[in-house]
Amino acid sequence: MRDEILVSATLRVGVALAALCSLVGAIVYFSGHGSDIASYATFHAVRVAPAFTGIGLLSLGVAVLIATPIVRVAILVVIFLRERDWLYTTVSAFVLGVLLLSLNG
Amino acid sequence: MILVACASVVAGLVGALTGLGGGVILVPVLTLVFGVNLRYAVGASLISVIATSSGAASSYVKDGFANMRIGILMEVATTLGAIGGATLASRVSTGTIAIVFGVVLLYATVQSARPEPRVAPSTTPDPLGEKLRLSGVEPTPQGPVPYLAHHVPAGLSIMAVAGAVSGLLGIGSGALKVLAMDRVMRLPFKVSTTTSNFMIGVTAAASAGIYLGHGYVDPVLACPVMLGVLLGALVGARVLVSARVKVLRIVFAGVLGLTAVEMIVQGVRGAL
Repeated sequence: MRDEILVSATLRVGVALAALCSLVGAIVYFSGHGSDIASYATFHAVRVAPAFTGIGLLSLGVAVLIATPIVRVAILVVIFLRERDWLYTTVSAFVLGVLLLSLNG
Repeated sequence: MILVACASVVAGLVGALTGLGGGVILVPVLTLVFGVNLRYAVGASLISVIATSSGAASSYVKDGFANMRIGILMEVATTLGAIGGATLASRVSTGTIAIVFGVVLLYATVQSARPEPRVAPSTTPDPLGEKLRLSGVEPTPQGPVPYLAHHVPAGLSIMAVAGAVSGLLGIGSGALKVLAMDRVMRLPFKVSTTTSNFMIGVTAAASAGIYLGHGYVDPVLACPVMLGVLLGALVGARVLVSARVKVLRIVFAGVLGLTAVEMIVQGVRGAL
């Protein structure tokens, strides 16, 4: 039961943190770009790095959010490992590997 | 941008009320109403799917319904499928994606408006399910009821498709995941829905990794959308208890059906 609470808390904190970053980021960003008319009609690849600016905080929000389920799977690996459940340690480690690989690909 | 955020609140609200999820509504709203490029819309939708799924799953896990073993085993199939779908999304035209989206939306709408009769959870033994220890105990008002997963390979296959659809269209494809667990693997409905919700975030994270790499996720669009959908989903979950959902469902089903047709038409014209 303690494991369930840990997993639950991880998800909650992750989403809350991401929402907070996004909210602050949005306020900072749009107070500076309030009059800009955003155009997403044409596609161009977006690449941004987190920094303490409006857009940096927004990117951080996205990064924290994507990291949340990944951390959850990592916790699952530890839980199964502690239970000496080798089959599901392998399964969850595999999923973690796939997730980490997708971030690099 | 305030308008986009407000529309996202509505998308999250409708998604929670219809049980379809935010993404299915969000992508058409962003593309058809706001003229957002389909690739950005799908990217923003994926981000909001992670938020709503993780937010909702956190309460389900504590209730003891979600089965972590079943979830993680199925995630092997959904994450691999998601990577396939997300990679495919970067290779095909937005018109093709719009057409597939329209077809999936049409199907989901029909399904949600006309729920099929439930299949009773099976109690016959299943050697593979037992070997993989895919069993659990469902807490019910009548006391704990044990259950066991059946037809694991078939369930995994549908999960791979669900992952691919999620990666291609930026939706949670929760309905397909529930179908795999509820109908095929014969798990109790509540276990299926909560475990599915648990898996959606992990599946979407796999796709989001690929989308980030291709630059399809614009934080300036994705964050207000995510905040909006999250707020809408939270309110929706509260309203759901009191609202006359049946009438709402029929109304939304009509609107979504028309939206689906519009997506297909725009996709064929190559306008998206």
